[in-house]
This record gives sequence, structure tokens and C-alpha cells, in this order.
Amino acid sequence: MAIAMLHDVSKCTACRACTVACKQWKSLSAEITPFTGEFQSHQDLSAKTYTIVRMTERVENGQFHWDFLKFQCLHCSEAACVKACPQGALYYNDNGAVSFNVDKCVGCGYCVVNCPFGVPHVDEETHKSTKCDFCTDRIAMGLEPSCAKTCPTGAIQFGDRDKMVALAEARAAELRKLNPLAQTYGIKEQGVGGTHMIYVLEASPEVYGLPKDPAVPYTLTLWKDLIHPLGKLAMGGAVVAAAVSLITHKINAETSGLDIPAKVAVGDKVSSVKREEETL
Amino acid sequence: MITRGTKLEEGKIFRFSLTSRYAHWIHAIAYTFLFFTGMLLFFDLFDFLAPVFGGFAGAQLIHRIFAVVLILPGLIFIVFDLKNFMGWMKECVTWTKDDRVAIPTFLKELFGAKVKMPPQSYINAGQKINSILTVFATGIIGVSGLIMWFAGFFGYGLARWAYVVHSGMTGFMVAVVIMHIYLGALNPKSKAAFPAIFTGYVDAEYVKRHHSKWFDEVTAFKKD
Repeated sequence: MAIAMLHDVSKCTACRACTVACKQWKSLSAEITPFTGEFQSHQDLSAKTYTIVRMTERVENGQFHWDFLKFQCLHCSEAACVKACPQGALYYNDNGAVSFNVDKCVGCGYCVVNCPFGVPHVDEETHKSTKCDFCTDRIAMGLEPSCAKTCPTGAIQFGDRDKMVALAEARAAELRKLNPLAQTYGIKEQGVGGTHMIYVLEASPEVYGLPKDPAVPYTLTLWKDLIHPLGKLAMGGAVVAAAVSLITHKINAETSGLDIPAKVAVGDKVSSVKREEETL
Repeated sequence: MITRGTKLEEGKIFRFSLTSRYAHWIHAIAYTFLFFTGMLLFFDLFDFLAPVFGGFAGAQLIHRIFAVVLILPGLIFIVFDLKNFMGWMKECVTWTKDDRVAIPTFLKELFGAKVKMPPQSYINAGQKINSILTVFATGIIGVSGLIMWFAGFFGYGLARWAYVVHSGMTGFMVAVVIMHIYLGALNPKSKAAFPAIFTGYVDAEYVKRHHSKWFDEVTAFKKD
């Protein structure tokens, strides 16, 4: 069964309880950040912060908007990080969550560079990539992720993906009665195969810092699906060519015998001399 | 010009200057380490080597150390023998009809056919290709590697392309290096020249057969 999380921004009060619950359950230390003159305490995800609430201040047609978004790993169905990982440390859970095997991670950062959302971060101390794994351990025990559990307004819902999709679409339709810009995110975004983190937004995705058409980078497809096999083919081909050449020469030497070198003297001219014996 | 052979003593001709030999071996050693540490992330086949480098984290550190070492051969040439290097490069881009004919002839010879090789100069056609590819590929792999190393500084968009270039160029160059090692050290037709990259001297008889144009230059020089 595919699972999904739904964040309805229209119900979010940016209390940041989700961030705290995540820190608590995952035993992540607090990060002291400087005051920048706004409510946004943590500017971005980090190796020690798997989820934040983005608070974007926006003035449109003279009206002030404050847009909240619970930002975290979106758990793509076709995830760039899983494709980029050379060690198979990042993988798809049966329930669709993008999980990771810490022991396999080598901290190369390929997932960091290729994620279209900028989610994974490599921990400088442990040299391991980190991100939200939808509380795999809690789900295994039949619990919901800690952020969903703690959300006091019901902005975060968690459950069967089909159910979440239906919920999101119904809610977006309801919001559209007053706000034509209300829309879902993560259902129609097929560049990453749809996501398991679904949003109900009150404005265009860019307002919330989400890419309009997220996609697996084409350079990643080129790299993994074309360059890698070609590189392996070239290396293997060279080894085979050298081996075939060596064997051929060995057989030739046995049948015809080796050339006997002639004496070389100072003043010898070669190009004027007949060159029948030359083979290379 | 290139440090030409000036000696024809006891059947030996001087071929590689000390600078060239140092540059070659520093490059070769650095490349070997870069190859094995890099392959850990390219080819699952090489994963068993990880403990040799102190795990993947160790391998990543060693890869960066030897990436810096790989700058040395270029520096050595610039500091000690720029004239030699420029002469080498100039000769590599100078292509005669003999060179053009030599490539298909060489390919036939490689797989055992009896052929008549056109006369070759100090660097033969294959060596010209190998030299140019090595110098340019080292630069391209180096720059793309630098972008990957400091992806945060250069931007992820550029780093994504760097992965493509770094891997592609490496795959191609490893194939070239495999052939280079085979022709230089193993191939019965050309391995006679192998000691030259250690001692600097190559067998005169070999030069006469394989680099007849250069042989003529050397012997003409001695006559004067």
C-alpha cells in the first residue's frame, strides 16, 4: 500500500511543532541560527534539520500574504537521489517512501547535487547523507510520522496515498470557491513520478519555493544510463583488444619465428635502405 | 625542440629526458590511485578494494590528494623544461601523410596482420594521439573534478554536467591507458622500447625499425 503525507497550507499556523517533534523523535540536536529580522528561524534543511516551515512574506496588489509550507523530503516516486546513489543506500520502501541505509552511504553527495528540491544534506561529522525517511521506524510499529502526530491544527494528514490524493483534491476544490489559485502539488508533478508528500497550496508553487515542474535532471539520466554503460564498455573493450592482440602475436611468433635484429652503425640511413623486413 | 637523441653508443639512443620520465611516472602513479579510488563509485566490481584505502571515506580523501598530485607533471614541465613540452605538443599536432597511413596500418598490425608501416618520426602516429588525449583529458577530468569537489561553490547545475564529463572522459581515457600499457610493456612488437621510460635510453635497432625518420635525424646529427 502506498502511503502519503498531506500538508494543507491553509490550515497551517507555522507553529513549527512538526520541526520540534521531528528533532525529538530523530534525536537531532538544535541548531542555533542568527536572527534575520523575520520569523524564519532556519533558512533551509540541514544535516540536523529534516523539516522546516517556510514562512514567505509577500505583498501582492497592496495586500500582505504570509505563506507557510512544511518543507521536507517529498519522497518522489521516481527519485533523482535513488538514481544518483552509486551504493544503493537510497531506496524505495514498499510503501513508496524514499528510505536510506546508513551503513551503505559513503557520503559522496551525488544525491545532494541531483535532488531537484535540494533536500538531502551530507553530515560533516558522520560523513553520511541525511533526510526525512517518513519515520520508517514509527510506520513499522503502526504509528504515523512524529510531525503528523503532533500537528495541532490538522494541517498535516498521513495515510493511504489514494485517500490523501482524494482529500487534497477535495480541499483544493473547496478553497477554489474563494481563491482561484488554490491547487494541489505532488499529484500532477510527473517529472518525478508524483510525490508522496502532497500539498494543498493557496498560490503557485514558486511562491512557496517549490519548482513548478520538478524533474529528474536529464544530465543524471545521461550520466547513469548512457555514459556509465559506455565507459564500462570502453574499458572492457580495451582489455579484450589487448588480450586478443597479445594472443595473436604469440601464435604468429610460434609459427613464423622472431625477427633477428641487424647491427646498427653510426651513419646508417634507414629510409634509403630497402625496408622489407620492417613490420611496424 | 624535443630533447633529441644525441648518443648512439653501444646500440642505444637517448629518448626521454629526466623531466619527461619524472613527469610520466608521477602522472602514472597518481592516475593509478585516482583510478582505483574513483572506480569504487563507478563500478560495483571494485567495491572489494574499499578497505585498502581505509573505506570509502579514506578513498575519497586519497582521490582528492592524488588529484592535486596530478597537477605536478604539468608544473614540472613548465618549471624545468617548457621548451621540451612545447616541442612535444607541436610535434603531436603535426600530421604527415605517413602518420595518417600509419593508423589503419597499425590497427591491422595490432591483430597480427603482416603490414608495411610507413616511416615514423620521434613520436609515431599512435603516440601522437595518446599524447594529445592524455594532456587534454587530464585537463578536462581535472576541471570537472574540481567542480564536483566544490559543487557548492560552482553551483549544482554545473556540477551535474561535471559528473557526466568526468565519468565519460574517465571511461574513455582508461581504455586509452589500457592500450598504452599494453603497447608499451606487453606487446611483443613494441615492448623493446619499454626500458626507455625508466633509463631514458632505447635500443637503436628498435628506433631504426619503428622510428626510421628519427633514426635518420640522429645518425645524421652524429655524422656532422
